[in-house]
Amino acid sequence: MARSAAIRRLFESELDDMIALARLLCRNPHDVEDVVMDAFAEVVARYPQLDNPGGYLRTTVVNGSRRAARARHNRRRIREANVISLLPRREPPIGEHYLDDILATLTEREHTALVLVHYAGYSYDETADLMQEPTGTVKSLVSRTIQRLRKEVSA
Amino acid sequence: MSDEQLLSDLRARFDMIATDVPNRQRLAAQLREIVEPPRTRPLLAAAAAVALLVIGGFVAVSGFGSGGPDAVDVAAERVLGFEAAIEPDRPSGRRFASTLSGSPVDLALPDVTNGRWSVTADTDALVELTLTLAAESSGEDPALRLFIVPDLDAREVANQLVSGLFDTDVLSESQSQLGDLKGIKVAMASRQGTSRVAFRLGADTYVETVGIDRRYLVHIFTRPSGSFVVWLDAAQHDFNRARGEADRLRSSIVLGD
Repeated sequence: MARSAAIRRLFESELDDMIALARLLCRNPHDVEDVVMDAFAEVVARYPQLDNPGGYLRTTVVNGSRRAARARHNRRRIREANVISLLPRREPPIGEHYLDDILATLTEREHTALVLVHYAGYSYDETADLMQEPTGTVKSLVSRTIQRLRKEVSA
Repeated sequence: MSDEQLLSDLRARFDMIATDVPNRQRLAAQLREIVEPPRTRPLLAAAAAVALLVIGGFVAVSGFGSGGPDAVDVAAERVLGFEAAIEPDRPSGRRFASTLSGSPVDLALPDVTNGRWSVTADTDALVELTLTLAAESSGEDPALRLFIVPDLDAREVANQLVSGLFDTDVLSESQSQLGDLKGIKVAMASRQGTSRVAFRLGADTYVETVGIDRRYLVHIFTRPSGSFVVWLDAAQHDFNRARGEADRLRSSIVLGD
C-alpha cells in the first residue's frame, strides 16, 4: 500500500512536467502519449527495484522522447505549398513565432540540450546525465546553440 | 538582440509549445489507471498489464511511426494515401505502380526475409518505400525514395546535391545503370553523427532528410524532362543489408514516358 501511495505521489508531482518535457523533446504532439505512457508503465513495473523512481521516470521520458524525435527527424520532409496541403502536418504550429523556423533547424542534440537547460531548468550536470554525454560537451553544445540562434535571429 | 531577451523569448515559446498536447485529459486518465488501481497488488499488476497491452495496441495501430493512438489522425493519413502498407502475404514480386511528375513508374516489391517493404508515401512529387527489418526495428528504418528533379540532368543534380550537404561526406561517385539509362551513383555518409541531405525539386520545393549516423546511396538518371533519382537512406548498421534489398528493388523499376 505504501508503494501505491508513493507511485500516486510521483504521478501527481511529475505528470505535468513529464508531459511538457515530452512535448518539447518529441517536437510532435502525437508522440507524447506513447512516450509518457511507456515511461510511467515502466516505473510502475520496476518500482520495487528503483532507488530513484523520479530520476528513472525523467530519464525514461527523455530517452523515449529523443528516440521519437530522431525517428521523425529522419523522415523526409516535403515542403511545397500544394503538396503540404495534401500531406498531414507532422508538427502543427501553435500560432506563429519568429523562433519557430530557427528552432526547426536545430539538431536533435542541440534541441534536447536547449530544452533541458533553458526550459526544464536542469543543471549542466543533470542534463549531461540525462543525455549521457560529458558535462563539458553539453556546456559547449548549449553555448554554440545559443550563439547560432542569436546569429540566425540577427541575420 | 541580447542573450537575455533571446532566452526569455525562447522560454516563452517553449512554455507555449509544452502545453500543446492533444488529448491531454485522456492521457492523464489513462495514466491514472496505471498508478491508481484498485487497492490490491494483484489488481495493480493487472492494471499495469492492461496498460502495457493498450500501449502495445497503440504501437501496432500506429504501425508506421505516426506515434499517437489518435484514430482520426491515422485515418486521415490513410485517406490521404500517405501510408499504404503492402500486405505481408503478398505474392512475391507484387508490382507497384505510381506516377511521378506525370511520368509512370512501375516496380516490383520483392519479398524480404525477416522484413518487408511498405509504401510510405505516394504522391506526384515523391514515392517513398520503407524497408522494415524485424531484427533492427529502431524506428529509423531504411527508406528508398524515388522522385524527379525537373529541368536538370544527372550531372547538375549531383553537383547541386553535393554542394548542399551538411555534415555529410561524399564517399564515392561512380557510374550507374538502370535498364538502358546510364547515370551517376553518389555514396555518402554522416560526418558527425547528424547530417542533412536535400534535393531541390523546384523553386519552393525540396525533399530532405536529417539523420543520425546515416549512409546514403543516390542513383541519378537523366531523362527528357529532368532527372530520375533513386535515393537509399539507411542507418549505418542497416546499410549493407538495405543496399542489397534496394538493389533488387531498383533493378525492377520500369519508367514510362
